[in-house]
Amino acid sequence: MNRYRFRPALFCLLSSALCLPLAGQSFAVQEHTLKNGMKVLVQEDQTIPNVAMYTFFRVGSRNEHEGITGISHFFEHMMFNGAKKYGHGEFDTKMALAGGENNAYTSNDLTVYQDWFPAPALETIFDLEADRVENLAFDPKVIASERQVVYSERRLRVDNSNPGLLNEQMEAAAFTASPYHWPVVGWPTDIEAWTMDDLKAYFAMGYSPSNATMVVVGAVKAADVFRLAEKYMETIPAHTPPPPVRTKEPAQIGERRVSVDKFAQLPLLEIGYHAVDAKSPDYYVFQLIDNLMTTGQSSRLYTSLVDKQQLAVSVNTYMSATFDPTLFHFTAQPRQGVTAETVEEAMDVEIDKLAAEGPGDKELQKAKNQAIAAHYRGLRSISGRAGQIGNYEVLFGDYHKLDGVEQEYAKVTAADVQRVMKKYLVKTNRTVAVLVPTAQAAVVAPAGEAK
Amino acid sequence: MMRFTVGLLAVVGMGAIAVAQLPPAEKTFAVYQLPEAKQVKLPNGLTVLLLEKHELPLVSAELMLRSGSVADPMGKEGLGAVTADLLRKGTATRSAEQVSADMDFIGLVYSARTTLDYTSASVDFLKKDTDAAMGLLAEVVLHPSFPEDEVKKLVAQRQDGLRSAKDNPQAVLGAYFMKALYGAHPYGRPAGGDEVSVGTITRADVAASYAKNFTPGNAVLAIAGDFDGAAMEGKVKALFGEWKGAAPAPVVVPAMKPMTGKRVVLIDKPDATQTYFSIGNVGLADNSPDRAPVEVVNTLFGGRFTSMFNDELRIKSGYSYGANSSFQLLKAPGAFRMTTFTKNATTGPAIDKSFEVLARLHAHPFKEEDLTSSKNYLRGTFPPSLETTPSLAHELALLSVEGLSRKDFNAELAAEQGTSLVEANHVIDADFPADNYVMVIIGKASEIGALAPKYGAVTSKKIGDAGY
Repeated sequence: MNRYRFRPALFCLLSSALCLPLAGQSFAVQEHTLKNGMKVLVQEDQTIPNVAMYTFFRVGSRNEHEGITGISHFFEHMMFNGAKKYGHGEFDTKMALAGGENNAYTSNDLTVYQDWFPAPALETIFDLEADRVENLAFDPKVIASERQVVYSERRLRVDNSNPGLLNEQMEAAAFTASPYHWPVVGWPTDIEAWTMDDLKAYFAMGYSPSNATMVVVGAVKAADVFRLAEKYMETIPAHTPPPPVRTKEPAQIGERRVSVDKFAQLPLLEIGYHAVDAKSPDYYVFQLIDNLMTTGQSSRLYTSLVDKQQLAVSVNTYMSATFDPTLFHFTAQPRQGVTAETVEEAMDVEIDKLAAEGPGDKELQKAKNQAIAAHYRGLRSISGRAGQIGNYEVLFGDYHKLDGVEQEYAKVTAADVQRVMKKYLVKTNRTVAVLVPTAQAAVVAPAGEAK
Repeated sequence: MMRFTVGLLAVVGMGAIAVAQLPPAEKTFAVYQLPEAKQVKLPNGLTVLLLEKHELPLVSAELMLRSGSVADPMGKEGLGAVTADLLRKGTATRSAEQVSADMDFIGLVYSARTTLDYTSASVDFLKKDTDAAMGLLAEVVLHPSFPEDEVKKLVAQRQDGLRSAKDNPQAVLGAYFMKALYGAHPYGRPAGGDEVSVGTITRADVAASYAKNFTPGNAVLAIAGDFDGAAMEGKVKALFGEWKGAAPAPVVVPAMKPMTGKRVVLIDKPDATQTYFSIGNVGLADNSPDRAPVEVVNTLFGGRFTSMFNDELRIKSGYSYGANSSFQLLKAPGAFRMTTFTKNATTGPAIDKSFEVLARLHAHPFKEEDLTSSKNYLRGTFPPSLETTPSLAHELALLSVEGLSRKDFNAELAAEQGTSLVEANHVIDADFPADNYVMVIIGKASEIGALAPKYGAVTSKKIGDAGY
């Protein structure tokens, strides 16, 4: 979509650091915990006259169970659909009138609400946020309509997206016991079936200030933010925190293979290896393996699969930061006439090679340089910083760890890379998913979809 | 999972809902002013723009040509894009592998892009790597060698990339729409080419395209970030001063008039459980005096989350996860599009609802407070869009390529704020289509095809057919 030309399309929102050792200046974070347990983190930055306010709720699809999968994501939507003081639609219209906009996202672990607005709107935004956290409305008509919206989103991201569909099948096979087994958007029949009672109970469980961390970055004074947080948020009662997620994924003891037969122009490949959580010391080693494998055109898999052997249009690797151990992913788009199996074999050769030989000194330094540059890019906007401060506080356990990222990368050795690869990136610990193109359209819509 | 996708939908507001009175403070935030860049013209014709920004040790540079894909010869669509992608695939002094190794070692983000109106190469780097990064940018732009095997590889890769894009309706809807609306006009020819046109591209084509378009007289280099202006100016002169070549004759793109009649193009994707469609016609050129009021009106109509269109298709009916409208501003009049998607079963109702919303717009529904909301939203959400060095370098380059000044830019943002109800109603009548349109539908023809004739004369295609 082209936006109006004088309005630059938003580049990936990225930003600067807490205490950039090479920046010659640091942005201090100030913190204050409300009586109901909500922690508020503020970073004053007057560079632009705007504010990013991100509220992280420690509730995501891992807190669900079969029958209500996707309900966290549904709440992400419902939180915009009216409360006591501001009715259906008013959260958005009032924010727009104040010069602001918003969004939200849900992951396996978290639901995060994002507000971007000019500094003078600060109190209005607090008023809006407090209303929905304290007094969300549950209008059956609105719920029925939003259910359709969420299903449309599922069709967009999964049912009509080959990578989305393949990823869903792969993760469902890779995780047998962990709640990471089901998709964040939810299984189709659950989207259509959750009840008013399910919704009310889930809201009471997850959506209390005591289960949230608020991060505010931009043209504000921390004292004002704390004062307004006390005025609007502190009066909202704390709830009992959500019950701990007990079920852990047992160790995998043999390769799993998944096939999706679907109408497509070209096949797809995705492989997931069980890996680590955000607090693991090996998290940063995996991020460097990610760079060694697929960041830049000098990376191992790009060089071998895309450039030299001409087997793939593209290759990618990634691992998210999560509460419970997650997967390290490899994805590839095979070239026309090349099977996913051929790409898989070529990928295995490269994985085995890096595990056996380890990276060279200069190659490892390159991966570290890429990681550090990307880290600073991720901190160069107020939005990027709000996201990272929140992620580090909630997922990594302490926002102060942001200051140590460069050191974390510095201390990784070639031997660490080999150790991690030999421990985790082995066939018995992986799930291989292949999308096989068919000439006929397979029926993707689940039984029972409303026609 | 996100509430909505940025780019799929910009966000927000509609006057159907009474909004509580805001404290006066919230009406007082300022209109954005573009910072002043230093402009230098080198003797060889290269325009250089320098904007110092010292908060963080990061720098971005973008070299932009005043030629885009409209300069591609007929039947060679995608030539400019292939040429831009090949810049890094080998130079006079480095192999493709060496270029990549050197870029990656400093964590450089390099990208080349080609649109209808311009082509650019950009780098984003840490201040400490300024010499290496600017050296690499100069080398790939000034001395690419276009090795024969790299040309062949890239062409074949791009063809498969274009094939795989057809597995994603959202990724290709725009290309089908532009083809349907503009046909053989330069704007109907895809900037990235199609499977067939790209396959005809040879090294000789690439070399000719490069020689013609990559000249200092045809280029702007914009640099934003943490550097000393005088030192950077010296560096640019040393790196780019010897570059030679006059600007090519600009490609004259004829102004296409809005089409008359009702045309439907139906693209069969037999596995689709959701239908993706766009409705639109030819809109404005980038020099149109209607730009500012159109921005204010389109924000209310389909440009933000609480727009009329999204409100009807998502909030009120639940038909879709998102609906938006946009004006594409190019040198000649670009497209106006309304775009949304819905499950197969509600395809007809969603299309009807889209036309209802358009009809309601033509009944002049806005009041003064709606304009206020739109203006506040535009003003308040603008600064983050130019907060970072890559976005600033890009915007400075783009303005220069468009022949516009900082004054024009700031005047535009001010004019948005001054839009009156009379002007808003004028642009609704003048610039938003009413009875004439092209509609492009990607979906499961066996389930939804019977609906199509209701909306106009139908042309049918299959998603697997070559081209758009």
